[in-house]
Amino acid sequence: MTSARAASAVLAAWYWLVIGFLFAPLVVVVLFSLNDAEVSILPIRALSSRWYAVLMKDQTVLHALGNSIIVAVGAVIASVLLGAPLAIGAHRHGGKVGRALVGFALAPMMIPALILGVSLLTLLNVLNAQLSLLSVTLGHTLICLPYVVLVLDARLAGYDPRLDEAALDLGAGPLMLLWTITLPLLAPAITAAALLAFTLSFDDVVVAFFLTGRENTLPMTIWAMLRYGITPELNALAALTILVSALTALLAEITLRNARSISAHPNLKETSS
Amino acid sequence: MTLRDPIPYDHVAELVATAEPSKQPLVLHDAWRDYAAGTARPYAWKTFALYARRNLVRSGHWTAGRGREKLTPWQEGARASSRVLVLGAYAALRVCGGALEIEHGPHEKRQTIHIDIDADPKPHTLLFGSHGEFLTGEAIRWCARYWINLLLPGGPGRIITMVESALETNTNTMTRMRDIDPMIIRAQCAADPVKMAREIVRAKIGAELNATIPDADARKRECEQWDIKLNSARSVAEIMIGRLIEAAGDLGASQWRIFLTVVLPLSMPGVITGAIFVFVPAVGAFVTPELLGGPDANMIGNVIADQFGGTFEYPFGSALAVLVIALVAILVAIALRRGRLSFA
Repeated sequence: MTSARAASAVLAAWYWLVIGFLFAPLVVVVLFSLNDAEVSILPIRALSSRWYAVLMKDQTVLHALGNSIIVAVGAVIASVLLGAPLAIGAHRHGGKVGRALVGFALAPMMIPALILGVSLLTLLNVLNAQLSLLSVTLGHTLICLPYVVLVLDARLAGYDPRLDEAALDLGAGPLMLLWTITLPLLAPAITAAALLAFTLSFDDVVVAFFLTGRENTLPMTIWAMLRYGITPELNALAALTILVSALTALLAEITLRNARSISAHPNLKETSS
Repeated sequence: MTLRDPIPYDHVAELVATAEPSKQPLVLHDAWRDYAAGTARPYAWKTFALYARRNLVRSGHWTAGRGREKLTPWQEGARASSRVLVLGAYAALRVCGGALEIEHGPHEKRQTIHIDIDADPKPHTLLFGSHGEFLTGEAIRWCARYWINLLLPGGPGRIITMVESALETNTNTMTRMRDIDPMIIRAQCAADPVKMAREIVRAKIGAELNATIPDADARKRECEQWDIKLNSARSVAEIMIGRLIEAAGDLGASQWRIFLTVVLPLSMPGVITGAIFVFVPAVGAFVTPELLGGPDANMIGNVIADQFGGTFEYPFGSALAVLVIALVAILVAIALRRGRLSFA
């Protein structure tokens, strides 16, 4: 048993090493954002929130934040409106066509965001379209769509077709079925997918880099600010971005975890009332 | 005394005829010889046997009385526990002597097995199938011959809770069986567990098909379809990774060996998917190299980005982009071709 214990100790050490590697940079950024000094070097003399106050007065940043939210919300709405019907339709239809549809929807995951960005840029050029927040939203929809489909598809895998049959037997039409059975059961997954899509769009710089017109999103603004070196203000901004992303991802995870099973198994406890 | 196998196993016999023989030597007889020579540990069996008998009598599964005793393991409807019961009963019988009737099988074709230790003192082989039934005769010879070296660390008879039962029972039962670990005869698998499990599933399916499909041609077609399914590592993973880990543990594999021979091979689809998902953003990265890389850290992503963001050489940039897409596509195609890619 001692060798097993030694092995698990090694695994635990490895685990913490990986966690450290992943999170140490984030911790450093948050730490320096709270540093009172102008330059980001150790040791930290005094903690203060002055850089956050500076940030709150920075018009460029606030404007970019607004743009980012507009783009993210737009991308969320578009990708959910595209992805949910696709996932539901593919699931109902099933078979090879359904799998192929899901496969196509997931394909953008397999292509580097850089390529997606330059492809869209080329396409927009061919179409003679102006680069604007709209084009960024378009690009972000493309990034978000696979994740929305993936989340919904996973949730639909546990969907009991007998629920649909029961509803149809009781006289529900297709619309009523969708509205009263399918969508409520998918609501947690849709919420989680939307939150995930929001995070993806909110953090993206690669696609935005190519598709941004005059209006900058927040990551693009950070990118631009980085050219003048790392300032404490930038650290504060990064810390806030991390916070928003982490909270959104956490919320998505909680939503999915708390979602009840959607099988119509006879052992389902909620059925008795 | 003859023990008849309740399952028609003619298809299994067919499989046996075509299967590759195990390269490992069979240690069954050696182990038994060791036991007979007193090098193994009979006392553990004795303790267990007495314990089992007392409990079986108390629970009403065992009608006490020397001479003709009766065991009705299915009585409480607990299929899985019947294995433990039968095992215990047999052990008790070995130690205490006497004869035992074991009724088993489903209601319509319930069979009675008579084991008379006094009249027939040679060790019996008890093999338990997925429904708590005994598998005897051909099935055992087949298992013993092809995949399993049975190491008997000490036992009054060749009581084998076979791999199949380890594969089929729920975790609960296996935990209980592990609790009486010294009692459970350890079988060490000869070939690699993945292949072994595949073969066992195949045999099991063969037996089921024999029982349910009377037409030989239809049965053969069905068998072929199952063979196709079973031959891809992925279906085996889908069918039984949890059971395999359990079975490998029961067969005496160490944690490390279980990981290397069961978990890792069956997880390869996920590992490869993960690798591709890391490779894709990495090959297209240009922000990270620009921020963290020095002047020499010019990656293909930076070059492409420069064509579109700096020098406006769109055709050249597009060509490079197509190159990257082709690279990713080739990788994905290889992964798909080897059946090793899975989403979610």
